[in-house]
Amino acid sequence: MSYFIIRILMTLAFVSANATAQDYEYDLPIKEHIFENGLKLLVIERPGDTRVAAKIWTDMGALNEISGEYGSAHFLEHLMFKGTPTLGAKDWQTEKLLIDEINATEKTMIAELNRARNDFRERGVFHDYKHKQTTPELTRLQKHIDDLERKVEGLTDEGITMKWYQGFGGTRLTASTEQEYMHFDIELPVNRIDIFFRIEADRMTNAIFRKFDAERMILVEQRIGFLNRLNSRYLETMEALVGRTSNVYNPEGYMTDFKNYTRQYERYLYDTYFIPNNTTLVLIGGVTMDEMILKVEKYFGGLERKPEPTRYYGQEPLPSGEKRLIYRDNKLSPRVELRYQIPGVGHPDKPYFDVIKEVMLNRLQKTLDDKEIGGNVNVNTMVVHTNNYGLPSSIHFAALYEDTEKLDASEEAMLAEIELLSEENISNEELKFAQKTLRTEWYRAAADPNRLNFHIGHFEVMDSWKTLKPYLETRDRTTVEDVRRLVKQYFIPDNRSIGTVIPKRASQ
Amino acid sequence: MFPLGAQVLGQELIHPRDMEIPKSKFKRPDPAKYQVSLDNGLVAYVAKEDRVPLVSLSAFIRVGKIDGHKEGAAEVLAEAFLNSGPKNMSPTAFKAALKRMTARYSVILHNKWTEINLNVPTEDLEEAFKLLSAIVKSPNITEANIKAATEKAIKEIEVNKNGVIIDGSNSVAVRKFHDIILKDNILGKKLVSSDFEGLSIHDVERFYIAYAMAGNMTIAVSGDINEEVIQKKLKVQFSGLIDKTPPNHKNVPIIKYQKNKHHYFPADKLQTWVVIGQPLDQVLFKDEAAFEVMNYILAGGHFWTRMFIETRDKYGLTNDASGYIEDQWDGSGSYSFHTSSRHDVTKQLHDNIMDVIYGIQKGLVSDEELMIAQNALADGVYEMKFTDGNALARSFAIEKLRYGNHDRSKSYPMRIRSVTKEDILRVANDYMHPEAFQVIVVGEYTNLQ
Repeated sequence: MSYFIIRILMTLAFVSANATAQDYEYDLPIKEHIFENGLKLLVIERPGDTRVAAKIWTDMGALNEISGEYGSAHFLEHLMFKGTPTLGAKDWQTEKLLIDEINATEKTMIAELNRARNDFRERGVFHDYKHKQTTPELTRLQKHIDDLERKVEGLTDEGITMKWYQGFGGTRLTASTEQEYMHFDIELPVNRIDIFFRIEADRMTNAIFRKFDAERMILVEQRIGFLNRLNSRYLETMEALVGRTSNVYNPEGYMTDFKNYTRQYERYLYDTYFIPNNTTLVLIGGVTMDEMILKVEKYFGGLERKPEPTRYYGQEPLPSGEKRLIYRDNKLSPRVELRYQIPGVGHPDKPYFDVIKEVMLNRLQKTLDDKEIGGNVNVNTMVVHTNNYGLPSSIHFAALYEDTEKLDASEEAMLAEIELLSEENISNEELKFAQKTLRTEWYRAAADPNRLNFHIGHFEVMDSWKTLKPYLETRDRTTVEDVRRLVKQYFIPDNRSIGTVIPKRASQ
Repeated sequence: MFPLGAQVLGQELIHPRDMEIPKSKFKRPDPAKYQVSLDNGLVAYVAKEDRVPLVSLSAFIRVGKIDGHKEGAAEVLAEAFLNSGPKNMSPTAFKAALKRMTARYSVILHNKWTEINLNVPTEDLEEAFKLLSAIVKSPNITEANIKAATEKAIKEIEVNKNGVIIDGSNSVAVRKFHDIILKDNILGKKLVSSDFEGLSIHDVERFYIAYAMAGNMTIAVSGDINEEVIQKKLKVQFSGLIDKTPPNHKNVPIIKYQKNKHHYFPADKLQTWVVIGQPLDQVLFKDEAAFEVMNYILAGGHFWTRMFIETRDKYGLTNDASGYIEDQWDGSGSYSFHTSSRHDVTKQLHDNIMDVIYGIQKGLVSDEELMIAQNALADGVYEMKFTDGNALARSFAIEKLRYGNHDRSKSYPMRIRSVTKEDILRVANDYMHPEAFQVIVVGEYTNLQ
């Protein structure tokens, strides 16, 4: 049954059939349809494809988290794999009573935690002092929740969403949460797309947070897996140096955050953001928009538009001073790294920085080699796990070495090379090569419906899918003057953070 | 209907079990439509895929680590393919050409075969085609390749003065597993410096000449191409390859089973990595599909497996616990389960993994498990191998090199759908031998006995 009327007249964005050579390069025949309840559907029709890459995007992520609960958006993604009353319940009537009791018990726990909050406050720099670790009441309540969870376990069918996706021939089943988004993904045979709508409409509306405490430990596992990498702590420290207020720079939860997650807060995030008017479906494959409108209506039509969620409007203060990190680690390669804040996607300057990144990647290595400083040069814009943000982030120039001997000379040479960009003309050849590299990277992404889907959805949550094509075209139009202008404006000492990795002294 | 309020009442919430699963419309493309055979016996697959202006070129050669009379020759040849390019240009010019084309280039040396992959923008097709064919026809083998291959081959896992592994990881645990089960087998050969000291450029060239035969390789070309033009280019560039029978490939002796044993390697990390596994006898053709379905249900590297549910979903013990079949092309390989955990739950993780292994050996899988696995493999994994021109050219080229025909891919869906619950129980017992499991622990010591 449908509770809404489809708005027929919607934007249909086509690339002209008489495509020019330039159009061919960024062929994005995206069709858009917005339903009455605010749900957005984006489709690229590829007649003849036997499969369809499907993703559901929610405009929320780590940007919406609060300090002390970093990673809670990512945790919500995990919880949303735990089923619904109609997915995974063997006896929902009985299970519901248990879940209600778990939630009520947690509320009592939160009250107890609040009552004794000064006892549990972590007061040490190295997390080494609290007045108390627990209270008898907290211990009793946690045991009660554990007992209830065990009873729930016997009433549920694990892995239910994955199971049915796989049973319908689904592949590349995954999900991801970053600063600005959460998405769930699947590729399916075209004639089985219904299972995507069936599961996702249910998941975004009726999720039950089963196995909450067991799943919490998966995040711990993922976190320690990340920390096992030699450079993880350095990168997080460097990211924290660059930004001051923006959640762009926060990791997916510190170890001290995981224990703080509550069902109550996760439910708040879920109820606030998982609403049709904050959701975009993106489909690429052998489907048509007309057919998909009918199917989406069938499965999502009953969802009501909800009040608009509170958005993140945080803004980084103006960069106002050069910052320096000295990081001591014996296992990490010595390095020097320069970071500058750059604008987010949606800002007209952002595409030019992709070109600057490529130009500098080639230039820096050559310069350091010519000066016999060598090193392994890297230029990138990766913050946490992501290259692009709709908020300011940073561009990084790094050179890694086997020892510390050349670090000072390397820093001096890199600063000089960046300075040169604002004075010396970049050759046409350099610029064209950078642009070719970026185009080729884009083609490789666009060749894969799954990756293309990601870029479209990502742009939609960062800015708008409509700005993706202009973004790519702007990179191709970048001139030497554009580069010089931006280097002069952005690569200034007050916008700079410098990181140096050196070994610990013997006594440390 | 469930009493959840109006929101749910407005939704279509039929259980997936009760939904119709429409029959897949997918049909495997006909390989004959893509196949190009040269007079010298070389077979290529050419497929147009013009959504983006890119071209992929691959060569697959049936020569691997275990081949040849001189140890290290395969490793040096792969190094030459990767870093030196063809004889008609210097390694520096070769690297510059790849960079100029913004190419993605890789060389992967397997135990029994080698693949060379080059992906470039269409505008560079002409240059890329000549480059790949020149690499395949006359690789520039140098002393620098021998040196680089030596350094890679003899690189040991780093340990500190107390014998603790410095950078423990899953790959370290897998390497230890291979060292143990492949001891004294040709698949586990350990190269040492002296292997390379006795190796000359001439030796590697002889090795290359012996195996780089037209009938011992296949080519895949796909992307934004004109198929007719590519067919002509193939003839021009590859007709000169000699059509001669390569030396017999080495037979791999059966990997010997060892008595179940635990092996502990200390590592200073926040997690412990565990690999549990055994040698795997060559799976008979009649059992291949059943074994694949069994592995899919047990631990097949995706979210919904018995192992994943009993370790991760229910108890939060690990981020991943999955099974890996190492298929060694006409010979025995290995079957292993890889996982990791915080130190304090390693024992429980190990026990839960063993429980599900014993479980699939004791009882029949359910009808639903069988149906899910069959659909996932026959309609999901299988379709993805032919999902576009790039995928199908690659799949057909490798299949032809390995089996000489395309019968296996043709019959795959039928074979998967013919598997019964009894077949699964049988292969689980015929091919899995917990009494021979080697258990590798890299991390903190835990008594798993």
